[in-house]
Amino acid sequence: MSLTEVSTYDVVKKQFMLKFKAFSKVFTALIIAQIIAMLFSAGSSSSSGGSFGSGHQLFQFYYVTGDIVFTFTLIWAVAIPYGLVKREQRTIDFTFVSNRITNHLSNFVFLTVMSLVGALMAFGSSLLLRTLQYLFHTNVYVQSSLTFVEVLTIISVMFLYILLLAIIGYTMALLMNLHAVMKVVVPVTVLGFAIFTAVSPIYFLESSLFLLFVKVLFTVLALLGAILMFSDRWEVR
Amino acid sequence: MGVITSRQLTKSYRNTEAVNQLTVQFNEGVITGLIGRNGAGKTTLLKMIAGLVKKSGGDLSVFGEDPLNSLKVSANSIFVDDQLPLPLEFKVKDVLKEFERFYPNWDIELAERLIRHFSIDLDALPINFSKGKRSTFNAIVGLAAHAPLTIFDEPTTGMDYSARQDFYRALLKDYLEHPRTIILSSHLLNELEDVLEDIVLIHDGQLYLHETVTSLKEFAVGLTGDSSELSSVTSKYEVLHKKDVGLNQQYVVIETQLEEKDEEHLKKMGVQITPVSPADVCVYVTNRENGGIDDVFNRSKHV
Repeated sequence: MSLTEVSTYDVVKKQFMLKFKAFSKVFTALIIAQIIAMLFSAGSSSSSGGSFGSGHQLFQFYYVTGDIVFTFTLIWAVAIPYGLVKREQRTIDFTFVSNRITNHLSNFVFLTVMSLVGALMAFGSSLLLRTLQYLFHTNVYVQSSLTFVEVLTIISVMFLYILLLAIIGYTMALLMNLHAVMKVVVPVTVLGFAIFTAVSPIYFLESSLFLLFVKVLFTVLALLGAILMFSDRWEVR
Repeated sequence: MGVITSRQLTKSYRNTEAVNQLTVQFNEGVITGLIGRNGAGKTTLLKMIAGLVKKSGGDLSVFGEDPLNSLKVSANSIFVDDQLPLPLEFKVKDVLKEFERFYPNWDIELAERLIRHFSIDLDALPINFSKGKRSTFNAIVGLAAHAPLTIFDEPTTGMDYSARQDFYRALLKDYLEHPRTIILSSHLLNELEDVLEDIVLIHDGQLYLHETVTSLKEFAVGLTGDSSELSSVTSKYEVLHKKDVGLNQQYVVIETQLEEKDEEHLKKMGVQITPVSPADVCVYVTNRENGGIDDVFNRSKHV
């Protein structure tokens, strides 16, 4: 029987398709997360108030934003990779054609596509949220209408942050799988790192889209490179 | 011609060596049975061959490559055991479709015919199958993949007798139509004698025998008769196994065939000469040091 030759690209593509079918519930989870977020937003938008004039004219502003929706999407992005690297899921690629490198690469492609969908949906939800407020409340002041470039910028920024958190979540999940103790050590360390060091402002206070893009790209590639370098250490079944 | 060759191959888990300095070759286009007791290292060896587990030492080459991380090995081989992880919500038909995308030689017709024969529902979820049914489904997948290297690790776990017989026949027929390298690990050698061509016997992670089934059938003979008369002859031979069968009667298995004059001599004394099945040979060879189960109960030996 003659042997077949396959390319890494081909296998990654097939594995991605497999994952897209097998993990479709990831997007259901996102929709649920965003609906919950919208309920939160509708109930408790940030507000500020005051009074002016002599007749005690009280007023209060409600800012209707998609912030909570976006936050929930970020949490979703960190959590989902844990499901991807669970033993039962990780071994599925190897039922079919795979090696450790294509396994990680296809996961990475999946996370990228997932992040893009997450960004689009977060943007869509925040628009929906504003529209609902506009329809059901009187006295709504629409700040400004978004230009096409602004829309693209917002979606790009969301995408970059979601992707960043997804790949961090993926790396964390891999480390947490090494040993039971790591399931506590890793999240605590990462959280401590995020809160008490000057690392997170590097990403979250970046005002230039281009610089943010460079930073995220660099981080993602560095983490992916490290994962691939150590990938041989994982036993499959 | 070895499609798989290993030299001094070792795999250790903490303190135990599952595979210990194993040097073996699996021949191309042959159905080889990998035989061994529980814990002999069969599964570990097969997983290393399939590239699922990393070796601890030695050399291993499959299709001329180190199987770990080799896409060539992965694309040209299929490893089937009783687990075969699948996405939870995939129905039988989804699984078949998925295999078709990954394996270029996938025989959809064969898969569907076998699925019908074993009355498996195309819309059922494999994760809900009983143990035997799941094994049957996995075995069907393993056959229909037509991979140049097909590995079955204890494929008949949980299957009933008739399902096993059907699987053996299907395996043989499909192999004749599409000759390829097939390795089948099992401890049910007596059921497999007619299917297998080669037998690799491992024990404690080491190679004990690598023979064709035909030569294994002539590997040893069994003699039943009076103990004292038997011992006069058997002292010349390598005794594989000895068992008391009634008063002063013994059953002795000796390696290699009898010389002609001994055979005549024994026949005259009324000793029964019987062939020893390959399955029994494997048991006796691996029990050589520990003795049989009878020795455990034979208290006089321990005093």
